[in-house]
Formats: sequence, C-alpha cells, structure tokens
Amino acid sequence: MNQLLPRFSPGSVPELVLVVLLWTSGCAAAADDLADRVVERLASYPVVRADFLQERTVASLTKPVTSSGRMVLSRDQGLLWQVEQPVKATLVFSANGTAEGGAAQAEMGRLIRAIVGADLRELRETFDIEPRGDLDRWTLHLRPQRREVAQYLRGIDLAGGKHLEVISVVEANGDSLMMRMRNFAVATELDPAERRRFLAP
Amino acid sequence: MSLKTRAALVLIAVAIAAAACAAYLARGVPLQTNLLAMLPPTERDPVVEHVIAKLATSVGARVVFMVSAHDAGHARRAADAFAAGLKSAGGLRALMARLDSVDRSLPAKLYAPHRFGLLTDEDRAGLARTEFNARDAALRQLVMPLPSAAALPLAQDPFGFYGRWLASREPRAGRLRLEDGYLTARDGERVRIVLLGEIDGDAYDERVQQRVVSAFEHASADMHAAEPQAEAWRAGTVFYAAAARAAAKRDMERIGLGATIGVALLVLLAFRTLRPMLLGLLSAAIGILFGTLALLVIDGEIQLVSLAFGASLIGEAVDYSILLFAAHLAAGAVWTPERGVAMVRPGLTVAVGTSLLAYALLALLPFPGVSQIARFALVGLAASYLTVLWLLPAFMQRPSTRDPQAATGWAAVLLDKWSALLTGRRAQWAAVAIALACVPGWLALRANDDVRLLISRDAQLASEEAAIRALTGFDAGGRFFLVRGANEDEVLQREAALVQHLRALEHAGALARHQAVSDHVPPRSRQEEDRALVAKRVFGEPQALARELAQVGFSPESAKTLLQDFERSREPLTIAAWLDSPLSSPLRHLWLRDLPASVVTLHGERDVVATASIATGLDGVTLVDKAGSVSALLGWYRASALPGLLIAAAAVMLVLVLRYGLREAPRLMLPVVLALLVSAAIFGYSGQPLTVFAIGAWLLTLGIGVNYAIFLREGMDRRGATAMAVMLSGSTTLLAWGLLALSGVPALRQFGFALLTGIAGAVLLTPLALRRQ
Repeated sequence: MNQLLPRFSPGSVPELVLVVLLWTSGCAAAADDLADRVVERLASYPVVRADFLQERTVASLTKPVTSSGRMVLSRDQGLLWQVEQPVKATLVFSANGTAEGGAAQAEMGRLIRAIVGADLRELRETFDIEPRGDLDRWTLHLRPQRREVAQYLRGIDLAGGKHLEVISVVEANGDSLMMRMRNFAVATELDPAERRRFLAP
Repeated sequence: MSLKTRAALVLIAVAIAAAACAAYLARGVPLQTNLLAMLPPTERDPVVEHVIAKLATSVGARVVFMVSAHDAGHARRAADAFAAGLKSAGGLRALMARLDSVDRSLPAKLYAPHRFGLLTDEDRAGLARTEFNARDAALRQLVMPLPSAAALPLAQDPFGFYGRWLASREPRAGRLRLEDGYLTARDGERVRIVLLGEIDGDAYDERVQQRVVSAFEHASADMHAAEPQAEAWRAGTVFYAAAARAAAKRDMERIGLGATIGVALLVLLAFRTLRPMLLGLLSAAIGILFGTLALLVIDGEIQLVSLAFGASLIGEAVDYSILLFAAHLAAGAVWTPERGVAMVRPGLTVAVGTSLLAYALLALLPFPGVSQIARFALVGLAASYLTVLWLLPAFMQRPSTRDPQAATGWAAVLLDKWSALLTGRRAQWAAVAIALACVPGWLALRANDDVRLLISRDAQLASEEAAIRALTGFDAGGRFFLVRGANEDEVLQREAALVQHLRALEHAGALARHQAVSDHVPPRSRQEEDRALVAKRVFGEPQALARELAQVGFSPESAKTLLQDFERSREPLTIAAWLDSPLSSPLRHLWLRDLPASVVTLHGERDVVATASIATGLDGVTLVDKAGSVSALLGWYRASALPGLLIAAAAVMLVLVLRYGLREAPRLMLPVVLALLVSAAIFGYSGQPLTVFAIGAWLLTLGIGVNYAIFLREGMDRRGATAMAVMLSGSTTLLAWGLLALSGVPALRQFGFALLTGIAGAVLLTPLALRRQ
C-alpha cells in the first residue's frame, strides 16, 4: 500500500448550499416530524424550475452584491444555476459529480451522490435540524455539528411552503448569502436543452 | 586411518560446526522474509535501484488502521481506545488518530506571497485567449450560490485565480473527510475512522514485526473492551511481511515435521529397528547443520525459502544412509563396516556426483535466493555423504541378525514383477497411449512469469487492504516515474511536462490520479511566465483595474493593497520553502534532493501501455516498474533454464558414459527423461503456469531421479536390498517434496509440484534402466 498519508484539506466548503438544494429535492424519508414531511414534499417533484434573486453581503465590500437568474433542479440530474444579471454565468452540479468545474466540484460528487440518492442521514450527520411552523409555512434551521464545518459556517435557514423559497446562509466571519426563489414551475422531465447542459457541459 | 578415528574426526568437526552455528544464531536469526531479496537487482541503473529502495523504506514504514462501529459516537470511542492501546503498547514511531486543529493558514503562509505566479491550466488559457474584464471576473466570484470561505480573504484574491489553483492541487481523499478531527468515512451502515501510523524500523525486521503485530492485537483488545461491536482493520507492508513469516514458519514446521515423521515410519517399517532411522536422521541433521553454517558464513543471512527448502532436504540426505542400511541388511552375517562401505561407495559416489553437478549448475544462476538454495544443498549433501561413508559405519559394527532373504526378498519379487509389467507387450501399448495423452498437456503448457503470482498474500489482510483502499482512495500501484535533471529547476520542468501528459491520461480515464512535486511547486519558468501573463492582462492598467474593482464594491484601500501585493511578489515559490512547510510532509519522499530527482506516483492505473508510452521522448523521464522488470527477468531465466536443463542432462550423460559406456548410459537416463516429459504434461493439464521454479525443480529431478537408476544398476548383486533402498529413497523424497507442494508460498509450491510428479515418475519407471534378462 502506497502513499498512505494524503495531504488533507480541512473540509470542502462550498458544498453546503448545494447540499441543501439537492437534499430538499432528493430525500424521501418517513414523515415522522416536520423536517421529514418537508423533505418528502420537496422530493416529490421530478423537475422544478424557478427564478432566483441572490444577495451576498461581504465585509470587505462597500455594498451587497445582488444577482438574479433561473435555476433548474432535477431530482435525477442535479442542479443548473444560470445567472443572468449582473453578469452571465452558468454552474452545473451534476448528480454524478462529473460535470464542469475543477477538483472542488469533483470533490462534491461524493456528497451529491449521497444526497441525490435520498440519503437524509448525510445531512443529519452534518447538521442539527430545527424545524418550525407547519407544512404550509415552514422554516428549518440548520446548525453545523462538525467542528470543521462550524469553522466557516454559522448556520443555514431554509423557509418555504410548497417549495423551498428562501435559503439564508451565514458564514462564521459574518458574511452572508441570501437566495429567494419564486415563479415555481414543476415538470416531469428536463427539456432537451437542459438535458444537454447536464450531460455535455 | 581406522574407522573409529575417522568417525571421531567427523564428530569433532560436527561439534565445532554446531558451536559456530550457535554462536552465529545467538546474535539473532538473520532470516530474510522479503521474497524480492531472493532476486537479483533488475535495474541496470543503480540510481533507479537506490530510489526503489528508498521509496520502499518510506512507504513500507506506513501503516493504516480503520476502526469502525455502527455510529459516529461508538466509532470515535473505539478509535480513541484503539489509539490509546497502540500508544501504550509501543512499536509505532508516530500515530495520527485525531487532528486536534488544522492550521488553516498554512497554505496561505506558503503560497499567498507567490500567488500571482500560480495559475491553473484553464485560467492560463483563458487569460491568454481573451481580454480580461476585471468587473465581470470579480462578479462571477460573487454570484455563485456558494459560501465564499475562500482560501484567502476576498480582497486578496478577488478573481479567484489562487483559490482555483489551490483547489485543483487538493487530492481527492476518497470518501474520507474530517469530522471533529477524525478522518471519517461513512460506509453504508458503518462509520469508519482512519488512523495513520509509521512503524519504528524496517518492515522486514522480525522484532519490528513482532512489536507492531502485538501492538495491534493489544489495541484491538482494548478497543473491544471499550466497544464490543467495533471492528479494526489494518494495512501496511509490515503486516504482510509478518504474515508471510508466520506462514513460512508454519510451512517449515509442517513440512519439516511431516517429512521427519514420514521418513521415520518408513525406515522403521523396512528395517524393524529405530537405529537406522536415528542414524539416518543424524546424517541428515549433520547435512543441514553444515548447510546452515555455510550460508551464515557466506551470505550472512538465510532466505526464508532456503530454510523451508532445507527442511525438506532431509528426504534427499536420508537416501544415502538408506543405501548403507539396505546393504547391511542384505549382507546378513558376513557384514563388516569396511565391506559395507566398499559395497555402497561406487553407486553412492556416482549418485552424489550427479546430484552435486545438478546443484552446482543451479548455484550458477544469478538469483541470490536460488543460488543460496543450491549452496545449501551442495554443502549439506556433501556433508551427509561424508557422514554416511565415515561416521555411520562406526555405529554399525555388528551384522544384521535378520535373514537377508526374508528381509529384502519381497522387494526383489516386487521389482521383478514390476519390471516384467513395464517391459511387457501391453506396457508398450500403454506407453504409446500415455505418450499420446501427454501431447495435449504439453500443448497446454503456458508460461507466466508475473512475480506477483509468486508472492503469497494473506487473504484476510488483502481483503482488509482492498476495503481500506476503496474507502480512502489511496490506490497507488507499484509503478512510478523517475524524473532526473541537472538541477532542481530542470527536474521540475521535466516533471511538469510529464504531468501534462498524465493529465491527458486522467482525462481519458486511463489513470485515476498522480502525485507530483511540480503540482505543488511549479517550475520557476512557469511561475515567471504566469506572473508575466497576470501582469499584462490583469494589472496592465492599474487605474482601470482599481476603477472596476470599485464598481463591484471593493474599497479603494483594498484595491491599492492588491496592487502593492502584486508589485512585491516577484520571487517565485521554491522547493526549499515547500520542503520547510508542514504541508509538504506527506509528499516529501517524492523529492530526492541529493540527485536531484523526483518521483511521480501513479494511482489507479487502468491502461499500463498508455502510461508506459508517454515516457518516450521526454528527457530525463524513466518509468520504473519493479514488479514488471522482475517478471521480465524471471521470464528471461525461464527461457534460458530450458537450455540449462538440456546442458545438465548432457553433463549427467557424460558422467554416465564415462562410467558405463556409450551403450548403457542412455538406458540409465531413460526413466528420468520419461518422468520429466510426463511431469511437464501434468503441469499443462493442471493449468499450473510454467515458471523458472518449475524448471529448476525438473533440473533437480534429473539429478535425483538418475540416482535411482544408478543405485539399481550398481546393486544388482543384492537386488532385493537395492530395490528396497530405491523404493524407500523414492518414498522419503516424495514425502519431503510432496509436502513442499502444499506450501503456502506459490514459488515453493510449483517447485514442490514439479519435483513430486517428476520423482514419482522416475521411481516408477526406474526398472526400465535395467538390461533386459
């Protein structure tokens, strides 16, 4: 056995919001509490399209940065995040971890597979989940359990009704990221153009 | 010199040899368990051998443990108990069970001052291709739905060049991640925690092995006391080496004990007294004593294989005494020791002569292991031979009290009947049928020289290692690239060129990944070019850059600091700085400072031909494949051993012609030659690969098998006793070699199987050597 001591990175950071998005799309758990029922509902849509508005607040910037665009979430394929304003950018997080992006994205593949494979346990291992409200108007507060995650993340709040409408991320240094989704449309499958984006980025 | 004086001299020599042997062994048994040490150096280039040895030492010192339980809490408690057990038991130089806190500033400390010269391939191509738009580039960093948590504060890396470079350097750690300091993998229903350790010494050192194995057992016991459901796996060279040593010891005990008991029973059955058995074993033991002493003096250490082989040498050495005892029995009342010795000496001398000739040819093979076996046999058999002629007669003064006819008559009858059957008409048809049946066997013979087939791996350990590899993604094979150059920078440049090719292979799926120093320290010229590109495209117009950053929302001060950082960072990152950083510790063994040279390891190789072909045309790059070159060497020796077998046969033939004349010699050779042909067919039928070890065994079969024909030919005046001696000799040899065919070491097993089939055939066909009455 060779090379047994790998250089180890102290935790891959950007996986988290993605985890939330995919998790909420992919989990099918027993509905024994609110979180489980929310997950069950969100997992019932094969494809969801929505507009999003994102606002990022960073201490070193004099003003928040807002952006907007379209997102497509597929239970089988992953997440397509298309920013239209103020700059055009597309990010594909494929469910099998082979889509565009460098090693960081590939690193996420492992997690994505677990999530898309309806592995509610995975998130429970990373977060303490605190649900509030009822199935029509719910919020979930996610607090990191692992020391390595807590080093850069304070918490994540999710809110919504039929769909996941708000994701709010607060980083350990106080920077924050808020995403609002609206104009939801549920479909049974991806259209050909979207499918191409997932398969051949 | 009288019989008694000679016997006394032999005993004195034995006593001295025993004392010398004991003195050697008192300093510890220098037993070599590394099977590769059996083989000659394969690389013509001594630098390559040196690098292989160095890598083997640094990698061989590593051990991995994986502790698992059904949930994280139990797994962590189990890992803590296991680690505490390991630490209290000792045996490990270092153990990493839990990372207390990772210093997240380490990469920034090493790389940030040089970051403007560090670009990924994509960023370099992008910058070279299109006009750089600072506003869009900075915004793209901010609009992604990911927390920033960047490697550096955003203002120091607003476009993410450095963040992407660093991220692309990170190895993929399989399914491992850090959970509260534990390296954890989730695997279905179990949570597994990895502990990394380094042993304190050479993995092939018996004392080191004992310490590490007992530390593992101690730690496992502690873990089970704390967490009864937990499970601990292990991987590392030291465990394989310890298992191989234990297996060889078991082999030695089993084969040695089995051979001894079997031989003793046979002797007892034939002679009805324990005396010949004890004397026979004495002669064999003296042979083994001198053989061992010779190895200790000549080689300084004993190969594991030689030891196992030595244990089975009992069978061959006992043959010589059997001949003497048979003569004793046949002489009846007219026995005197002098007469007995005179009776057996001619046949015995010719027989020992042919055996020694075969072993001497084997000793010429440049395999340290095989030639050691041959030295052991040469010295051991010669000592046994002299013991039979000089020492044993002194213990056999009195004639046998049994009636020679009654004691050996059955063997004469058996010989006559078997001879008649063998030379009868039906036997001729049977021979034709057997010869025809042999043809498909010969055609089915396949050579396979892969050295990995010859090394036995403990199945339990192998499955644990495979599981650990799958979960951790540590999957390095035995092949690596060695990159040499006139100076450090040339090495890095050549390595970077190689890495470009490797990336293409990785992209095509022929390779999972590689490890290379230049991925962490790009060559100086590359850093300077990248910095020049960044200077031109990004920092070309400082005012415009500051303005665009302000548009995004960066403060004027942070833009100014960025420009200052860029102006100051003119020195490229050096190997020395990297070596000084704790970040380099897992990869430091890849950099060979004194040469200078570097090693690029390959992980998850799927297309060996593609990997091999990329080295051609790259200066200073060599693909090193120790297992491959050893296998090629084994193949070369196998191919040249076949002519060797013919030469040995010719040499034996020459001895026979000198003694028996041109007409009779071929007949004496006939049984063993036929037996070898049948043995080869059996190899083909059973699907056993044809290796140099099988051919080596046939070489020995030739020497031993021809003995039987000689014994029989020389002893026809006392045919019953001689037939009994041959049958007994054949049975004892078969017992020893037959048990060797059960060995856990594949090389020995093939060796034993070839001897087993060859000798059995030679014994059965020996009557063909007799002149027809």
